[in-house]
Amino acid sequence: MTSQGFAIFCLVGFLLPVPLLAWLDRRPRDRAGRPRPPS
Amino acid sequence: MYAGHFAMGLALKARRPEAPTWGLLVGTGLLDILFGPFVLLGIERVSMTPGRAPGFTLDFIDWSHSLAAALVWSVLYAALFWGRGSAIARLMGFAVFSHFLLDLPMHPPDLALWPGSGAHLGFGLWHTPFWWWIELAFVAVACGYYWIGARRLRTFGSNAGWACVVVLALHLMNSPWLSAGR
Repeated sequence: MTSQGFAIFCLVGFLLPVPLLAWLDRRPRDRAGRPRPPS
Repeated sequence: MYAGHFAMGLALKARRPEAPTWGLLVGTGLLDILFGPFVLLGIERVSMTPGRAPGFTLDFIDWSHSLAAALVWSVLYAALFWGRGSAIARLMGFAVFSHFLLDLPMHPPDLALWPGSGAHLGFGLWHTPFWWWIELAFVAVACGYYWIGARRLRTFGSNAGWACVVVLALHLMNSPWLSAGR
């Protein structure tokens, strides 16, 4: 790997997981303003 | 440090759940996000050292990773979030500066005090055989703090356990056994 490739690898490596982790961290559905299903 | 920065972002989320998760995660990784374009533009320099851990040497990273630069990027990043309140803005600034604090024990002395400074910081755990385990311990503690906070408050982290699994997987991919060049 070249230094340029490593730089791109770092950039992608630090940006790519962000949307996935933010999605996994989203607010639980029952606290997001939606009504609970009847029990 | 790689996965540890994501773990720090999640731990900060548990500390202040109203902070935007994406902002914390970008913040904790910001110095390395800047490092990439800076190398491509020739502002900073890295040399590849295949077969010799960690596989590269950071020859000049003063504009992204020096102490003074980290402080400046922290203030600038915090300013972007000023509209969300001073507490959130301060947390975002700390998220950015946490990158320097976490890199400090791991890096060899390549963290300058300011761009062009002859004085460099870094305790060099990267060059010890147990660096991966030390970072794993930090990831475990930070993710544990996040997971417990998510379970207790239930206002964030609907899949907190999976988020922790992703961070652990990133750390595993960065292990001496799986990553190239180590």
